[in-house]
Amino acid sequence: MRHTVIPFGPQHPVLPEPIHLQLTIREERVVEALPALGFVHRGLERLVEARDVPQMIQVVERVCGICSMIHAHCFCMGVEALLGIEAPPRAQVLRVLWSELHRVQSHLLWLGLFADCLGFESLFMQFWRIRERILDLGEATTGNRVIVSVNVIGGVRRDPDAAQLAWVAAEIDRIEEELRRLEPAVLDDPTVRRRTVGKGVLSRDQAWELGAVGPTARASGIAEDMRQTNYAAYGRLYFEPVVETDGDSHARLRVRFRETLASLDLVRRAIRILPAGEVRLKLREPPAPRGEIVVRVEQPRGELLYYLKGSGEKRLDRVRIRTPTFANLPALLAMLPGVSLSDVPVVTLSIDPCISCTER
Amino acid sequence: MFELTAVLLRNLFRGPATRRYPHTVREPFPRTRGELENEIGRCTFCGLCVRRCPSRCLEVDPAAGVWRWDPFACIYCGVCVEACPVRCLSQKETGRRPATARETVLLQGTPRRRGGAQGKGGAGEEAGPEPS
Repeated sequence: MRHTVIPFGPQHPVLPEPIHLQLTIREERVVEALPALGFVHRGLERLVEARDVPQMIQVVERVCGICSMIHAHCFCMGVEALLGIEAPPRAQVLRVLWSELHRVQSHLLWLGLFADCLGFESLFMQFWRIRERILDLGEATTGNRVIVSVNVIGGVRRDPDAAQLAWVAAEIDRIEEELRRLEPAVLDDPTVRRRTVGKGVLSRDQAWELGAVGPTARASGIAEDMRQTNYAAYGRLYFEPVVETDGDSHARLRVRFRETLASLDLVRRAIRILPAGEVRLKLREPPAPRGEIVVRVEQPRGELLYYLKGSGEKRLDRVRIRTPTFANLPALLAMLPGVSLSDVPVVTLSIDPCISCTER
Repeated sequence: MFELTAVLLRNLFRGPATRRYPHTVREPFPRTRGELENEIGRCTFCGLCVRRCPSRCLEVDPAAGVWRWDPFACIYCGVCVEACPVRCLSQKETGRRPATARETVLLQGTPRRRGGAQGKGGAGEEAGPEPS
């Protein structure tokens, strides 16, 4: 039987970003998938040579368009640890609040794109309409819509007042109600189930061996979430990871949907425990970190790792960023063999690939 | 099978979720970071905004008294507004209108004498939350 090689991407209707998969096909089934990356490399890590530490915050925010808050949060936590300072408690909780809002909007974006890749246009529009309201919450509290630019070394730049927080909490309740209304349409709809159940299965052992992270790993039964390490204010929010055990595309869909609801709940609890006080430390001199550190936080797609090295200068020597999609690509390549060609887009999208993050 | 039908029926009676932009424009949220403005009469041309800007969209010529801003390179982060020691920089709550040609904003002020009002903003000061 002859094999056929079919290129999938870098331009493909379901892909929001360019990744190329070279698929070897036999009788409409994938035998092997080989990835090719590097279409959107921007050299952001190298900018560390030209930007000082506070300016790098705006650079790392641009690694990923839809979880900028979490990148900046991670970077600031690392620099603060190197400087031996800690953001005030109110700033810590606010960082969690904005991080969770970003997770919600990122998951809603993915849920919409996933519905779109199944051909479920109406559901796609529903999710994106809800997402717009989350973006409004972000814009009203931070000043910017997507790349919020709210972190600084030693705290945050904005301090929402009580009226704004009450509005956020009320809006979160309404958004949750709307999402719950969509729940049966996402999780139980026969067309969605037919395209996702049993497609792209990743067993628990495979996920562990290939180092999958985030919702991809949690859908295969690995209860691992960086928020369990209780960074920032997560220790006070009684966080529990969302886990599914089936390991197929539908399990990954369930994990992300339930995580969206869990994140809304975290926002609500963060508002409830928000302490009074200042939100930003006054630094006497420009930050000049010395030493090296590895920081890990949970991004919507999984574990995000920053390695920072400084030698007491105003510019860092090295910033190394490992994003979750990079860790999830081997898992994707393990999912694809055996999948029918028509299901490749669905399975590829089910890891929520963020290629700009991966290539930085 | 008909999980979404109730939602869709509700949508039928709710009116459109989108706005007919640019005919209908939503009111900006208070303190949204929009277009950058410089009250050039108060500017001391100290150049702190230029040194803090992450996207390098600002230029200052103290000798000629010129402040130049490239709105197409600006990322509207508001770092310069926070850094400004005389608070002559501010941000509007609305963004710039779309444009068809790239242009820079050039403001001409009175150049300061050397050693005059400049130098107040040393490299180390960090404010509290942004001024509103």
